[in-house]
Amino acid sequence: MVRLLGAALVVGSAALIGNTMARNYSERPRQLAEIASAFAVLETEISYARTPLAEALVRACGTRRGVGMRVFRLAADLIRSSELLPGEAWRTAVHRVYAWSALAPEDREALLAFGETLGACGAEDQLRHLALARERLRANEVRARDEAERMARMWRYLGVTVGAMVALLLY
Amino acid sequence: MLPEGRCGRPMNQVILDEILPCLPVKLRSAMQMLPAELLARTHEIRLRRGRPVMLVAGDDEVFVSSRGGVALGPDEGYILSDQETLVTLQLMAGSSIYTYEDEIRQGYVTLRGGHRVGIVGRAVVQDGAVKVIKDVSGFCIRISREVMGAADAVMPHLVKSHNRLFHTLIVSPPRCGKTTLLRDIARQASDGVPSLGLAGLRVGVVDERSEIAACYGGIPQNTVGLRTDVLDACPKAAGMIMLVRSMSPDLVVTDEIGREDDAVAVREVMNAGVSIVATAHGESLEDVVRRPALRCLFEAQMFERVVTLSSTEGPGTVETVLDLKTGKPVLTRSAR
Repeated sequence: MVRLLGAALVVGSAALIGNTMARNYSERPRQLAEIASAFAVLETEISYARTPLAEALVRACGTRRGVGMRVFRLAADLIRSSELLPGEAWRTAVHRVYAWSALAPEDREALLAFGETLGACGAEDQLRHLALARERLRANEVRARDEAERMARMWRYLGVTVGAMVALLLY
Repeated sequence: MLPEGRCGRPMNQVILDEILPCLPVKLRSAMQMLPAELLARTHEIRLRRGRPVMLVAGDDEVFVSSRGGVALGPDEGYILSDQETLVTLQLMAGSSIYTYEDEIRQGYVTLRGGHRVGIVGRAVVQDGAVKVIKDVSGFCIRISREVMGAADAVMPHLVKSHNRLFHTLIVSPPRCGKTTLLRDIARQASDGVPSLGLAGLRVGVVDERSEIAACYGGIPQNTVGLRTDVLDACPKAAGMIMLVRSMSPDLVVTDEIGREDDAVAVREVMNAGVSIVATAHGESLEDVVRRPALRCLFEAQMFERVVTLSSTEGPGTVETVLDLKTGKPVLTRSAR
């Protein structure tokens, strides 16, 4: 009876680890989608209202509190409170948040490229760079979603299978 | 005692609080070491790429030293680098050039506190209009000073009845205080002047270059009166008509008229039964009358009073207030 309980525990734990790994993979497309929707709001703020950058970045987040939103909020805070130019503030925010996010290096590159012209050009150019960044992130999101589906399934199966194997060996 | 600026702060503090945050860090530190008395007198700061930073205080020109404080000559002056020029533009534009794109295209931005910054560089022209100013090479920061009571001397001569002012044109060369006078006329008319029997009027200000009310984020930084509505950054001619149609003002105030469409709009405003107080660049009334766009206004005797300013006794010296109906002055500098 104890052995049966132990085996169930092993299988359960392995399945949990598999599930956690699977969830990590689905986190990246979710964060990318979140950033893309914030970019859409930012686009409206710039094209329609010409809202000053720090305020536009905060408005782009709305009420959302996800990891992706932290880049926008942190950049806005840095612009308001420090002597950093918008490009530097954005770069700093991206580097700081990246470490805690599920984003991949290519996502970080797309975000950094967008920051190079942030606040430093007219609305037309700013919107062009914004559209470019959105496109790159959308392509990354599609790839990330594909990968997430494949890898999530694999990790879930792997979790249960490895758990079962270990349980059999120990039984 | 140091001259007083806005909200009871001495002028040097106004510069430290409102101008310095828009300058690159190194220059900011150098300027913080300038004597308070000099900063308080400063009315212009001139930044030119690759050349020493200069302050204009009264008739004096002073260079900022690269080591901080006052330089003994231009050789010791703080040279503004290319990178610092870019940084300055971004800081002045509140870190978002696109927000101030239209103003920069017209060659200026307005800082918090109403200080105007003229910008020069290389203009990119498209279809005959300036599309953008690139390769920015210089800034002229004009420190805004609100002079409450600047219009005290002329107000008695501008009041027509308890609810009307005469149609008035203020004529003055640059830097003689015509915008300061105009702002105080707007404020006094808006708040009312009981001693002159003037009730508070609904005042509409068309502030094309954000000099009168100096709006920052839509909020007037200067005191323009209780009953004043400001149409900020709007072309004068269109703005005057918009105000008359939408805000039913008793008085329309605008700066620097001189174009054909301004004259048409002024006529429209006057014909709508609304008083107008405007300014025009010129050494004398004759100068202004010679301008083809404005001549028709004088031929039709649209204006009733002309105030002429000079800087003979400092900026804002009222030379004359002329009654155009009789052609005689109702106030002259010597009589005062």
